[in-house]
Amino acid sequence: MNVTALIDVVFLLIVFFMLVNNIVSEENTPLVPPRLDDAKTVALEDENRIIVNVVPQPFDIARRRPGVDPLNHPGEAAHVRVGINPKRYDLDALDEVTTLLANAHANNPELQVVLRADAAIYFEDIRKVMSAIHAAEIQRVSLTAFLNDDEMTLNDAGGVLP
Amino acid sequence: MSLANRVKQRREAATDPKATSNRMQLNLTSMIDVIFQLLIYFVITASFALNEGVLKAELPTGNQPVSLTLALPKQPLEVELDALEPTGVRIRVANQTVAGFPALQQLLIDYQFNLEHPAGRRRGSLAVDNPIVIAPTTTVRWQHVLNAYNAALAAEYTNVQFREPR
Repeated sequence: MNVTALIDVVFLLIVFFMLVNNIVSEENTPLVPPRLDDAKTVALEDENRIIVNVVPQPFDIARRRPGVDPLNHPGEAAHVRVGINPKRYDLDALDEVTTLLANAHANNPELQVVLRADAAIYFEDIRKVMSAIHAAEIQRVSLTAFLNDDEMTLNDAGGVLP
Repeated sequence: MSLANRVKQRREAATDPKATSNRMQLNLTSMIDVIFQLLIYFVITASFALNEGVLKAELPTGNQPVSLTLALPKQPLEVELDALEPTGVRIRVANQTVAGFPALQQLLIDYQFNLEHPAGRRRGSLAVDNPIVIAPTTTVRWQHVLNAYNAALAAEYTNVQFREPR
């Protein structure tokens, strides 16, 4: 039996999953973004952005799918992550985040911050992160949510709204 | 030797196990096993960030806390969000309770004054750049806050702000 073609296809699949897995895991921490009524979100731009993740307490994704009530989860944020940096910042000590963002903004004045927070987190914790971004004197902020259901496609992953 | 005999001899040689055992063959079984294990691993562990978008916003400039730097104009419209146990929210505008975020969006449209709107004239009293202030309590979930913000954007207001938690 000639298995050459089979091996070719399997290798391509392996390469695909290796690449996609790395790209996603570096920037996007697992969380459940808000799902909006009549969402006005747009696809996210790929350039001049830095993602600030407000990470929730550990959760089982199967228990927070739409229809199960994704908000049924503790509202206290666990920590904050910035970009591909694996470091976890405590919500009560965000000075380091402010410094990091200010430096990034100094290097790139066009930089915009994408605030990516879990739907269940209390506004009190989000406000702390907003204040840290504000202290870095960055005005361009985008707030992450699911795209409108009608527009859901694979190509929209990680996009923005007008 | 006739041609028929030569053909017969070749066929016999081709089917003879002793004759074929000397051929070199690459045994791929174990490699395929390993490749399938790798494939299964990556299929299972792959995760995708699907269907996310963002709502664009601008924070005020300056070094003071957000609430102190906001000099609210004369007629800011406040959208109050109160947390309801366990994960719900109560929406109030001008001391009136609003049934949900689609109703909030419609209410904000009704309040708007814009005679040049392509979908029809809006004969409310608020200009499109009139401040809409989202005012949540500390324990309101982020999804509700963002839903209120989205409703104001959907009603095409251009100046939507967040207030310090009450």
